[in-house]
Amino acid sequence: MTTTTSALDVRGAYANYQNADVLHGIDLQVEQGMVTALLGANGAGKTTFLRCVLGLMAVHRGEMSAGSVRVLGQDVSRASAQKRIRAGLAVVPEGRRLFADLTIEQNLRIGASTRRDKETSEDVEKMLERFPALRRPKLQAGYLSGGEQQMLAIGRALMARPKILLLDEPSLGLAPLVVDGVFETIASLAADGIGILLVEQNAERALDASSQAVVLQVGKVVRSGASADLADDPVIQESYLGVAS
Amino acid sequence: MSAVVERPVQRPSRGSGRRRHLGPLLVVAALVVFPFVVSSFWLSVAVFCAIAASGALSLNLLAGYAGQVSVGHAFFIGAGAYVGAYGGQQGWSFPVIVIAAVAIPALVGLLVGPVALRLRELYLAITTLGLVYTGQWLLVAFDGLTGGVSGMATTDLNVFGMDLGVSAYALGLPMTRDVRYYFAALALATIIGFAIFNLARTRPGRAMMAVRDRQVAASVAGVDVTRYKLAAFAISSGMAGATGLLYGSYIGYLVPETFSLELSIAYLAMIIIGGFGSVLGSILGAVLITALPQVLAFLAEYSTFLATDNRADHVAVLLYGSALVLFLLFEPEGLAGIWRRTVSAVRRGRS
Repeated sequence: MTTTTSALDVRGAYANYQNADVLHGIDLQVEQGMVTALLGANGAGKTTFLRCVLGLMAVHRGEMSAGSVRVLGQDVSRASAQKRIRAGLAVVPEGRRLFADLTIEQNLRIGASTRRDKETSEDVEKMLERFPALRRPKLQAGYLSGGEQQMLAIGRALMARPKILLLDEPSLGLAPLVVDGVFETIASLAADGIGILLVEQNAERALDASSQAVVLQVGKVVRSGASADLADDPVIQESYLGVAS
Repeated sequence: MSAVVERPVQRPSRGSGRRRHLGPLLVVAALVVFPFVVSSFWLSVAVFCAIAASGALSLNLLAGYAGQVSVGHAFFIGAGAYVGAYGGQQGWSFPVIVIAAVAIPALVGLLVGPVALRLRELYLAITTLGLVYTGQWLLVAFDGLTGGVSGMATTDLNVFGMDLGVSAYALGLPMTRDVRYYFAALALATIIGFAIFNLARTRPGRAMMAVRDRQVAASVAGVDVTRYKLAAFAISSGMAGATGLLYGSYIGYLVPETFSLELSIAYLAMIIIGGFGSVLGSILGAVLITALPQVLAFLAEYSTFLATDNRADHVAVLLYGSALVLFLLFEPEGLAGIWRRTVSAVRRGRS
């Protein structure tokens, strides 16, 4: 594991809110152009793990007390969220978290906040082309449907030209057909060489869409490995896939 | 031949060519003619309205665009006014006075800014409240510089050779002191208005609005929250300083009481009633709040009801208070929102 550099490499992440320990030594890697799924029930620590990766623990009055986060080999364990974005991370937050009063175009441009190049406008055009849901750039984001908002949230994250994309429950609350679209997008982003960390409750779809998977339970990794193997694991089948044994 | 001719569908637009510029041109023409056709009373009201517009715009940048609601605005306006008074006393030239009256409040704003990094919303508002009282205390404590409670005289500004304090004919027009200050105040409000209008369409403006709407989402989209909060405080305070400079110079005499909490509240009322995050709203709110007591005082001359027992003042306060509550409850977009909907309804009706 030490010979190659993973796009995202988290080792021994411990985290706590006030006095409550939430993560107990999590290891997780995301490779370039591959999808890693992070599975677990509510309260397993998935969102806390993402906060650790993004450097947002302090915002939520928590702390990542031990462990390291490396982005493309660069240690960002102590860096601000903004520095981590600049290092190559981007996130599609749970519930989209768009700027509802701002237009589609403004939302996209905010995604490029860490960039210093002059190609932002071209990238905005590319996003408008890539996602037909965004064909009205002057429309306020709040007027978009759930699926369109999800595409805008993905587009906004891509505006940072990330090497690793974190997606927090991207299928939550969306119609089945729209969910298909989201997973197609994830596959095509991976094909473009972006490393993807997919946090999902929909274990079946997530295992199907990923090559590696990590299963959290009460802040600990209980299973990890190739997604295909995990899909056949009886424990996983029983707890997450609803297959009666 | 059928009478029906296929025509391209015309979208209800802003009107094309000349028509589109007609509205703004009429407004400019009216503003230019105004000081020469009204009485000195209304001219003076207009000067205060225009100065208030600058102050409201600068507060709206901080509160409406960047989302940092501050009740410390009076402090920064006062700082600009007192720096201007001091500069005038020392005989500084106009550019030096302007730079000092902008830079010193901006610097203080930058120092206060870090508070906003830790506190939000109500807590930030309460903290900035302390600023107003600190300012009042400083003005009294350093009475050697400020004249303390007995106050300090200001000087008329001399804008690159044009003395705003004299009344003389220029270009064949009666350019009284009030007329000169009127145009100076319009110029300042225009500069600040355009600056904010443009800022909102550039990266810093978008970043500020992102911080306002969703701070955490903004930070993970890569927005430097710290930098833009500080920038909003510094720029807004600098603009407030310029407003204070003009205000102080126009009223001629400064006492600490002028820059009390009441002034901060009045500015907040202007942008709440006018419209958060709107340039037009800031201006409309400033005009309404500033002119309202004067309109009632004017009406009192014709109404024995209003003229008795200072009722005009009481009615002004009553209207102002109830307008504030009603707008907060029913029209969060303020006058700007009402205006926007009226315009689009008229356009729909016409097409």
